Amino acid sequence: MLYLSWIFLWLVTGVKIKGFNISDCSTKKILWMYSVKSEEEFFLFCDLPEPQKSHFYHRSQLSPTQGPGHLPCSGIKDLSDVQWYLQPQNGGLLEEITENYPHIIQDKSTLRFLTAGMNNAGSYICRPRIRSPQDEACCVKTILEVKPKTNTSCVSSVSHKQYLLLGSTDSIYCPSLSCQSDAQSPEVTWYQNGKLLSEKRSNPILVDEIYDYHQGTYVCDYTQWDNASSWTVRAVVQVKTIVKDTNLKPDILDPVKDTLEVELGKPLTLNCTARFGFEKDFKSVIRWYVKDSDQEWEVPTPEGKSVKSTLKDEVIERVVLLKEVTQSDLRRKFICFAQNSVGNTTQSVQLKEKKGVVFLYILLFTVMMLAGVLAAGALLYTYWIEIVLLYRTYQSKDETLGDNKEFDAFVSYARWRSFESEATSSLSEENLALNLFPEVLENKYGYTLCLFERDVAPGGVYAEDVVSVVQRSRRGIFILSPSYINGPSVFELQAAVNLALDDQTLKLILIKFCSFQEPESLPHLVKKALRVLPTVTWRGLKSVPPNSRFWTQMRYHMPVKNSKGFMWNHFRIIPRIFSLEKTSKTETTGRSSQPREG
Amino acid sequence: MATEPVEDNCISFVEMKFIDNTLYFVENLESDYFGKLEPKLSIIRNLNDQVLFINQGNQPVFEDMPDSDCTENAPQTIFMIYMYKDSLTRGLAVALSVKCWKTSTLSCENKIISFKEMDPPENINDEGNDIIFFQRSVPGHDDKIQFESSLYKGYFLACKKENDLFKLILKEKDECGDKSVMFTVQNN
Repeated sequence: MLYLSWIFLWLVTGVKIKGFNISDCSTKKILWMYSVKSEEEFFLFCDLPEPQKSHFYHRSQLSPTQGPGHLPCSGIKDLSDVQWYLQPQNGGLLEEITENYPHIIQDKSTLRFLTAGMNNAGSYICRPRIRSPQDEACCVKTILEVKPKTNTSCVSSVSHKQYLLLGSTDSIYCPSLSCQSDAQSPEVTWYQNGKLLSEKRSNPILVDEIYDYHQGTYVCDYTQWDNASSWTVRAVVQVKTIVKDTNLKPDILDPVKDTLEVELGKPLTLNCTARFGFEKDFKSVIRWYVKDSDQEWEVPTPEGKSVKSTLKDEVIERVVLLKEVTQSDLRRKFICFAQNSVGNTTQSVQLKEKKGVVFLYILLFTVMMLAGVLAAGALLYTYWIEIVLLYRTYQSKDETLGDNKEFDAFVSYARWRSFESEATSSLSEENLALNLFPEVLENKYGYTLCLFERDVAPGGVYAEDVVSVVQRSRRGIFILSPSYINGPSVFELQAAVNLALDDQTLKLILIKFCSFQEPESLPHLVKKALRVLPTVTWRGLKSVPPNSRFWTQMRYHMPVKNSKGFMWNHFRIIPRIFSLEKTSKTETTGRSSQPREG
Repeated sequence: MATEPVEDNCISFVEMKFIDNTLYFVENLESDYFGKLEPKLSIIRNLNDQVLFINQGNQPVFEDMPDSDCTENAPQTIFMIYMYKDSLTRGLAVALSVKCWKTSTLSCENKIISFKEMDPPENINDEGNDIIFFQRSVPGHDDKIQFESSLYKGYFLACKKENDLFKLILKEKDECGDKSVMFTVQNN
């Protein structure tokens, strides 16, 4: 029944319990005097008797039952692979110390206690993991007693963390012996990082020249006799080798330049990296400040983090994150401040708008301007005539005043048409000259035209008539076609060209009715004129409507008139007052033929 | 940079001129895995102040020697430490040579120290070489130097007593403190 309940208990707790005879183990008694204030660590070594050696490290290790004949642990190959067990103080079963144990870590064969406390007391047993049945007695039982240090014992006590300056001479003190005078100091056994220091037997250890290999965890043991039994009092010291405190101010490695180019509206990360020389106790300070005109305040940023840490230096970085660069940020100065106990250094950064961006805008603007100018130029070129005409309607210049000419223009066309070219597509030249021109230019636009059929009295000399008409007209309109060029009417053109050379107010307009070949027999002057004079192309039916491009071009070349009647006629607004004036005007410039100078 | 440089911490390995806020290097520096620079003439001693020199049998040995004898025994005691520019930052790469009738360079081939009859080459296209050692100072002791082989990591030049001779050997550093791998270098 008891057996069953025992198994049940084992199943419930789920703890591996090994039952083995621990009475054969060699026993040690260790006392841990801890101070309540400081953080202390503690170590327990598993000093399994090594088979080769004939004597043991500690005096009180041999148990009375062991004889010199058979040495325990003789069959064990790897004495560093051990298992630790704990027997609680109130008795009970052995518990295996695993990784899940709070505050206790097993480091190879050493058992490490991370915090001090009364609950650590108990019996600790260690034995090899892999063993043969005859090595059952190969184990060490350590009875650990934990007591707090009383304040009354001494005034000054040595710390459990000691610092040695590299290159100098110094000593390592055992904290548990700090309160005893030199006369009473017992023999001390020292361990460094788990290894016995056989040459050092005193307190304190004097180190002649301190090197980096002196750093480590030191354990000092001494024996205290308590009535009949002996206790080993143990203390643990953490020794760190350091260099001397720096005599330099911190260095700001980054930023280096005073200005930084940024883009408005984008996020920005300002990084300050500073190198601090070694200082044992001082905590380095690295901060970002913002200076705006007279005010200066600290920027709340996440704490600086250490980027690189060596024996002599530590490099710390602190970052300012701006979500968006605003215009006001460009006026401010960002100052990085680094300080240690020697002094402080600062580096200020001024934000500047990226020139590249502005330049880009300027470039873009220039290009657009150029494009605009080109477009405007193209537009102007295409609609020059319309623009000029528009301009003329608003200006008051009238070139027709005072030039003593009767007609605005005379029209010359192929009168004597050869019969071969009878078949015309749509409109004949004669029709154009005699019907369309008067209809549009005279009726609609108010010009005065001279047509030979209409305005010249018959019976005179042809040549003289031509000259006379040309002299009395401001413009000459010539409807060019093969029949015109090859026919006799070309004389009119020739005469007009000659007269135009002397008369500045006479301008000639050529109308290309249809394409033609220039005959060789043409006079040189006429040929030149054909090349140079302004030409308006007649495009057949397209040009017939009065608002076509043809008529606009014609109007461009016609004389500039700005008389009241002319204007009102233009806009088709004929108020009563002006209609009288208009009729009187048409009478004077009228279509009635003038008597020729004969 | 630091306002007050610590003494003996600067090695002047190339001539420089500072003109108008710009730093000019007087010689053309070439970068390679190991690119040779100008040598420094030095006397190497161990921590017992014994001087390293090349003996008649072409072996590197240490001996107690007063300063006057040092200069008299030159060129056997004068070592030319050729510094090399390393493409990786592992420490100052050096080659040790001595010119005594002929130029011999220290080599740690097969982990055995010997002198090879050669000039240290201009460039070495290797990451590790038997004649290249990394010269580093002992942490906290800026005057003491250690020489680690670039070919065998963790192996250092050391002084070892063999019979009556103190020989220069290559060995792995002891874990708990080894002063035999430390030397002092006195530059001429």
